[in-house]
Amino acid sequence: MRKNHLGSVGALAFILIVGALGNFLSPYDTGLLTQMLIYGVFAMSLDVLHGYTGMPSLGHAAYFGLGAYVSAICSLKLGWPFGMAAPAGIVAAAVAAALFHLLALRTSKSYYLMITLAFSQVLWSVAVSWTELTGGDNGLPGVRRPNLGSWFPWTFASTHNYFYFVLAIFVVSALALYVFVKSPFGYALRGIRENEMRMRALGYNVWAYKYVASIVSASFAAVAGEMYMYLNSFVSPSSLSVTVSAQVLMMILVGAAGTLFGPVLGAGVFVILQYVLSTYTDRWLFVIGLIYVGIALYAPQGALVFIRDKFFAPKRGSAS
Amino acid sequence: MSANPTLVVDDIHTYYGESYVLQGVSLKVEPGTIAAVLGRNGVGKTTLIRSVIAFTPPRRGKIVFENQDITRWTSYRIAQAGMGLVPQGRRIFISLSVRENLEIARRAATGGNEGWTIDSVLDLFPRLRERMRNSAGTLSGGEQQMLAVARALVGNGRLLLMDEPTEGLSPHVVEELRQLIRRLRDGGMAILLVEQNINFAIESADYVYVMDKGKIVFDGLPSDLAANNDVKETYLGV
Repeated sequence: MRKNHLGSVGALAFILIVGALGNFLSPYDTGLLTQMLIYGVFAMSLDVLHGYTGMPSLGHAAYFGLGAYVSAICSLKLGWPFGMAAPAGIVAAAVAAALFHLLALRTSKSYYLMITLAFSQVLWSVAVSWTELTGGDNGLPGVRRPNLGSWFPWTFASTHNYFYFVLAIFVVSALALYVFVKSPFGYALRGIRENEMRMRALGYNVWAYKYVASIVSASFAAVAGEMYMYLNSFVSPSSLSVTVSAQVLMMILVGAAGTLFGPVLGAGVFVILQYVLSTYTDRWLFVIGLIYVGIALYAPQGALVFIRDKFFAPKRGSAS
Repeated sequence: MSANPTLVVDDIHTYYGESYVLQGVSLKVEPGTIAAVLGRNGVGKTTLIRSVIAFTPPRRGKIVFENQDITRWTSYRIAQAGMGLVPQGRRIFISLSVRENLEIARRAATGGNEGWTIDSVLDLFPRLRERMRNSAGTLSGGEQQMLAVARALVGNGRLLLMDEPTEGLSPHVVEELRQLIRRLRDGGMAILLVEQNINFAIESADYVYVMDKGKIVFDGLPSDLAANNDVKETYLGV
């Protein structure tokens, strides 16, 4: 009981602090904060697959980019309003995941890693080569920021206003994912991660659980991808690239896989490091790599678990 | 009561890749009885359990559960049909709490029976009640075995498969376990027990089978086995 209490107080404090920061920081720094939240949603979405279900994906950018592209194309080429273009991107990612996993769920572990990488590369090459639709390497510029209609008192053209829009989506997504992983369905996913066979012996259709988890995960990745696209008013093939997939996987591993806040922490650390390091050196990815190796060696379960076990929970392996 | 057997294993042949493990095994478990399969390490006892629950389906032969041919069924359908497994080595989910372990295993009883609930199972294992919020990985060996049994019970199956449940337990806990499975049997549950612990099997079971090199080499009442020194020496090494 006490622990849950602590968790919700912590979550509320986190939202208030982040919300307040957005008010005081410069537009540039607010933009960074916005990126952290977007990557936070993206990393949480992958963690449903990787951390909770034990399906390590190296192609999660596929859904991030697909959501961004579909929603950009719907608003630019078809002239759809935000209220239709945004859901379209999410639905597209969910449908893509549903079709792809009919095949992909025949694999697991490192084979799943490879097939997800291949899938995202296919989408990437479509984005590069189908120039009339996607703009090819140039991408699609000029997507307007979300407009909820004349009844809504704010527009999101300014960085600060858009930050609060992203914060709201972040909170809703985090809550939804929290409910999801703390449900009996979520326990079952963790059971599957630990031992699929034992879950079958308990009467679980493991395939169906993994299938649903992959669709849920893809949908939230699309939410993040769209927010990223609207932040820059631009989408290009790099949003589908393996670099993005690897980065989000690293955020999870650095923060702590199998928790929801860990990936958010990892996303924050990643964006800050990238910002700080890249002002000093072009080799910032190298330094991030070193830090990642350090985490893998000394805190293999991720920074969040390391900090929690070190300072908050004297009992070894207590339930989160 | 002359009801049909709960489980009939009819001449099954099971392979791991090329290696021929079960070479024509047949046995029966009657409703409300405990059948034990004894044998040394590596004679195929665990493979037998894995064949019944379809982790390693047999290549030939037939498995009938409550008059349904389940030979080609998938594991999860068999479990849903009412078969519970207590796997070897008390394999509970160590990353879940005790409560979460029970929650994912819960399944309503069928046929208007009241069945086991998490609460009624906890009455059976009061020590688990105190540890509900703990991670299952922090439980002692005996407590993990209780959780493994409790998890199988809340699934409300009518047949329980137990793979070496006494392995690594103290004599005191083994005795508790023996009393427990007798109570379950008296409540109408059928149990297929695979064991190396001869005394435990003889004291708990209603019928015993002895396995060697993938075949059943003896079957009879526990008292018959207790009196048969030949079988005990040749196949069980006592």
